[in-house]
Order: sequence, then C-alpha cells, then structure tokens
Amino acid sequence: MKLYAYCLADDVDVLENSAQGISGAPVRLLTCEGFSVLVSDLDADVVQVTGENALAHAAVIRSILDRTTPLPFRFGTLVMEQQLVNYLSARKPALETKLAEVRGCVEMSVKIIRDPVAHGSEPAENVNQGTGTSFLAQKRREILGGEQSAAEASTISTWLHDQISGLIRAEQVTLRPSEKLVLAAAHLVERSKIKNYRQTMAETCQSRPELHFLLSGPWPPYSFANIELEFKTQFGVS
Amino acid sequence: MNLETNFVNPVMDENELSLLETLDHVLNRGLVIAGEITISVADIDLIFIGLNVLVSSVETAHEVLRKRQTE
Amino acid sequence: MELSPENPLTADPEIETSHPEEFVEQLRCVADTLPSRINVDAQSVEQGLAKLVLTLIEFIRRLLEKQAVRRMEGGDLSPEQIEELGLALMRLEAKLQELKTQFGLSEEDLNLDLGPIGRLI
Repeated sequence: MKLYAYCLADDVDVLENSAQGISGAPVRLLTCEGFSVLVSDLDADVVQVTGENALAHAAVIRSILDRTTPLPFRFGTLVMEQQLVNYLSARKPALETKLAEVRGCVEMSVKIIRDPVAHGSEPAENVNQGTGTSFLAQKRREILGGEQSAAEASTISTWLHDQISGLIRAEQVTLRPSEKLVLAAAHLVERSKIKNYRQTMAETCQSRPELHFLLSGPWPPYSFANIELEFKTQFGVS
Repeated sequence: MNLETNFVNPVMDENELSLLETLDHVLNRGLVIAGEITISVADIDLIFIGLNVLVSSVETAHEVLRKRQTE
Repeated sequence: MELSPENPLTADPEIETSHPEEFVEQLRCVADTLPSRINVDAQSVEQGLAKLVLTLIEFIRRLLEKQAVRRMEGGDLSPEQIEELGLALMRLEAKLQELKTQFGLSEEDLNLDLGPIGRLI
C-alpha cells in the first residue's frame, strides 16, 4: 500500500475537514521532522492523469489554504511511507527555507493572449509544396519572425512586472513569444495584499485592451514549490 | 469583475476553463520526491548527484568564462 | 467574495477573463501533450537521466532547425533537398514529443539554462 502525498506544512497539527482524496480515499496527516504531510492510501503503481484526479488533488491542498500556506507535492507523488520520511529528513533545511519563503502568501496567476505579429509580406505558398517543405517554411516564419516577437514578449513581461512589483514577493514567468498565449505569470502575493493586487490587476487589464487577460487565484504556491535548485547548489562542483 | 458578466457561455466554457486552468497549475509543478530513495544507496548516489554536478559544472564554467570576458 | 485581512479565502480559485473561448483553445493545446499516467517516484533516476538527455537533444534539434532554415535561405539547396530535410526534421520533432510524453516531461522541464550558448539558439 502506497501513500499519495498532496502537500506539506509545518504549522498544521489537526486535520478538520479535508476534501476527499484520490479515488475517494480519506486524507490524513503524517507528521515527521516537524512537518505535516497530507496523505491518503492508494494501492496502485501509477496515477491516472484524469480531470477527476487532478481536481481531487487540487481540492485537498485547497482545503488547508485557509489556515496555512503549504508546499504542494507534484501531482502523482506515490511513495512508500519510508521514502517520504527519508525525503523529509534529508531535505529538511531546504523545505524549511521554502516554507518561510511562501509563508502568509498565495499564488495569483496571470495569462496573456496577444495575436501574433504579422511578419511582413510572405511569398505566396505553393499549393503543391511537399509536407517537408511546408514544415521548413513554417519554421522559417517562426525563426525569422522570432526576434521581433521575442522583443515584444519581453516588453509585455517587463510592463506587467512594473505594474505589480510592489505588491508581490516573487514571480515565475513563462514566455512563449511565437504563440498566442504569449505570457503566463505566477505571482506570490501576501494575503494582506490580495485586495490591492486584484484592484491593480483590474486597472492593468483595462489599460491594454489589445491584450486579452486571464486572471485566476488564489492558488496554493504550486509554482514556488521547487527545491531542486537548492539541491544543485548544495552539490554543485567548485 | 463579476464572473457572470464576463462569460459568453457560462455553463460550458466555465467548467472546461476551470478544469484546464486547474490542470495547468497542478500538473508538472510542486515538490518532487523522485530520486530521494536513491540517496540511501551509495553508488546510485553518485549517479544522481553526478547529474546535478554535471549541470552545475556547465553553469559554473559559463560563469568563469563570463567573468574572464568582463575583466 | 472578497478576502478579509484575517484570512478566510474563497472556496475555489476565481477565474476572471473576458475571453474564455480563446483561453480554452490555448490551454487545450497544453493539455493535449500530457501523459496519461504518472508515477513520479518509479521514474526517479530514469527520469532524471531522460531529462538530461532529452534537454541536450532538444537543444541540438533546435540548432539543426535554425541551420536548415539558414541553408534554405542561402539558396544552395534544391527543392528535393529542402523537402527531405523538412521531413526528417518533422519526424525528429514528433519523436522528441513522443519521448517527452513517455517520460512525463513538459517543455519547461527541458528548459536548461545554457548561459551564453543558450542565447545563440
């Protein structure tokens, strides 16, 4: 019997009501090394990537967001209890640091769609072009138009950052210059600043009607729960 | 912003959008335990650490090069 | 559904947008590339190695694409050569996508920061 691990916190002693876990299993607390981990039993080797499972995963983590900011585990984390215990003990300092970084915060999300820039005049496409040739022609458009799109995307990213930099503790931004969904940003926002953040974002959206926005939140800090970098510096070569 | 006023097709799109947005947040993010179990076995230790050391070396090498160029 | 300074959060994350269909369309593309099953643990070392290898291959693949476009622009390739090159690169891209899916790796996972070299891509 394995454990499905949802998230980790250091200031939760008792679980009142949590949502049902994967496959409807009850969720409980596992405490170790000063951490509390939300887990449920799962007799399986793999986790199906279904909407139902993803929503269950999200709901469980959500259920303690009211009283603390946990670090989510990656969806599909299925381990033996001993593995989990080893992990908590081996990564204790990095986890404590990360919990301190996200303490009192939630994640807010911004996505921006922009219609990709038209790349000037293009030679008329030969209808009899082979598949391989079309493929390269498309790549050509992407690569040559790439620099302009990249500059634009970067400008949008900087502009967004400038609007809310005073209100966020941290950000994670993904840019895709050649796509319509040009930017996806995760902002780590202190709970006391959420109202202010939302107001500022509302104004921000209205100020650029040519861009289309999707705002969502609050979320647990999914995008800020990566401690792999710490591991890298610990064992980095000198 | 009021949710209702912004959705063209509230029932359909809202559910799918909500699911897709949740998927986007939940998947491929968060703490990864994978690889920790290898720490308990000495030689697999080396390989795991080795991967990160390899990546770190590449980055460290670039740091050195960059510094030299600006000096 | 406002947050009060004390703490209580809303039951579910709110999603606000004036263009739901557009975002549904874009987010669907991401969802399409997901693997159907995940075991983050068992893949462990295998996944770590796969990630490193696939990142390097992906880097090389992008370099090849750029180079192919440059040669095409340069005008020294015959139409047949362009077609063959295009097909080969197309297959390479598809194969890599397949491998990414098999190992449960996303595009972000393969985004190795290569410093100055990375910017040459």
